[in-house]
Amino acid sequence: MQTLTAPTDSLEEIDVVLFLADAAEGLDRERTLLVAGRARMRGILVAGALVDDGVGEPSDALAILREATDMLMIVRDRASIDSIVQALR
Amino acid sequence: MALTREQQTTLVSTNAGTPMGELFRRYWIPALLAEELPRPDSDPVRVRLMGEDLIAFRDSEGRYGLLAEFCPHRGVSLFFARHEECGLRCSYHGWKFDVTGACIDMPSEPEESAFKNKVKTTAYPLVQRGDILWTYMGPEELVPALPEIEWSVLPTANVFVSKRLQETNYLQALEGGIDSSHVSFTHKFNLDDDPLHSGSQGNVYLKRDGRPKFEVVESDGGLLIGARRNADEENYYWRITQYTMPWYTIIPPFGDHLIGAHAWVPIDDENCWAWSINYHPVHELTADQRADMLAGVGIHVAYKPGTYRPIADRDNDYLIDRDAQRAKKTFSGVKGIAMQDASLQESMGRIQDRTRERLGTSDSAIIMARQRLLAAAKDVASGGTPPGLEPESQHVRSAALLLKKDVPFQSGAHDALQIRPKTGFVSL
Repeated sequence: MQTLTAPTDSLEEIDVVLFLADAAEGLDRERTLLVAGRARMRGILVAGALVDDGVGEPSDALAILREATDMLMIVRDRASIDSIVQALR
Repeated sequence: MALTREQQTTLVSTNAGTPMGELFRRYWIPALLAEELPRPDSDPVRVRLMGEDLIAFRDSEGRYGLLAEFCPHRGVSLFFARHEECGLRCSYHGWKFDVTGACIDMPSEPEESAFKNKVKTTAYPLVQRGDILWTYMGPEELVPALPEIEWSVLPTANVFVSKRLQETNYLQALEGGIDSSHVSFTHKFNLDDDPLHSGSQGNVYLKRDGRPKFEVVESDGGLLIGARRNADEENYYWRITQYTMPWYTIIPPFGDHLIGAHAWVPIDDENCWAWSINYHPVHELTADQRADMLAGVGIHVAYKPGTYRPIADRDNDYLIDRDAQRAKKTFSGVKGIAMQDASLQESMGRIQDRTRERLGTSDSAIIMARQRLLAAAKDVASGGTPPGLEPESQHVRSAALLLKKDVPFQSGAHDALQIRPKTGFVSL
């Protein structure tokens, strides 16, 4: 089982592609949607993990991840990302 | 995506000394219904929790006790004990124990012997809150505040509680409780005819969009699980489930119907109690609502007489009705919301092998809940405090509502997700 944690064209033999983002930072919408679309077509699950400080303000990253992914996990700090990545392996 | 063998074992094992068992023993636990010990000196009741065999009783002064089931003398079950003035007397040699576990009489020893003062059996506190008797099985010095989950502190006139035996590990039941996507399938044909679900606008959205997208957010006490469906051009229809550590779930409401909630409490590693609660924060339940729930509609079940075992069970294939399945009266052929869930979860085996599963994107809540449990167990093992012990983190509600599409659901629904005294829940 492999989990892809960064956008790339190397999508063979991958079960899940996980987009990581911080609510305070930007995300390349075009590239994210492109990779997500290709992944989905190849039978790969498309997931997102967003680091949000808990305030829950609307953000570009949230909007893009909602558009691109089929499941979204929102955590309060980057340390929690590790356990999510571990869970998706 | 699958668990490792080690993760699986850690998650499903709840006996004393296991990581999850030690975590769970830090919380107050729903042990039995108050109706099981209705009066002083009523018959003692066997209780098995997390692999520990216990006996619950109510002494002559009405005090509740929860003792190790087996007499420390020769191991006889205190189920057969005599109820005598303020204590249980073992029927084998007459040793008598009070609600604290102290041996207060030992007639098989010389009258002048003080040996009884050296004998104490395991005893846990047993406290009534609402219609439930709660126990705490952890270290005495770490006993937390009593639970303040909304249904546990409302007047009993506003709450209906039932429990049923489920012949699976607790985790299968819990994962069913946070798996919102099955509603569009398993319960698809019954949302309109079940008296506790029918007629809500939410049903329209649920049936229109069977492919919800899930967002899961860490909360102080557990998780917020949002399932969003397209409502119109501007809005999503959100159904937001609360998962509160370690095993509580609150189902998003349907219209003005009562809110449903669950607790999934391990009996041992192969059985659990499925506690089912319906409540209204403002209104007392009507006689009709109580009658429906007593009859087993909604998230409740009809029992075999004198038990908390469902009439429909593994042995009778849950009374599956293939004609009803073909006629689209039920999706799986099993009647009733609760048994539709239980039948499928029990069909997975007593302990589902999660090292072989293939999770999909609709399983994000399951993934995060497992991580929450594993992280908490690890933290407690190294001296940390479990999440969800503070009463404030339990002051939560589920909700079903429309939100603008760009709004994070946890902030857009913030007020709806908090207990507001004498205020109804937010629901479509």
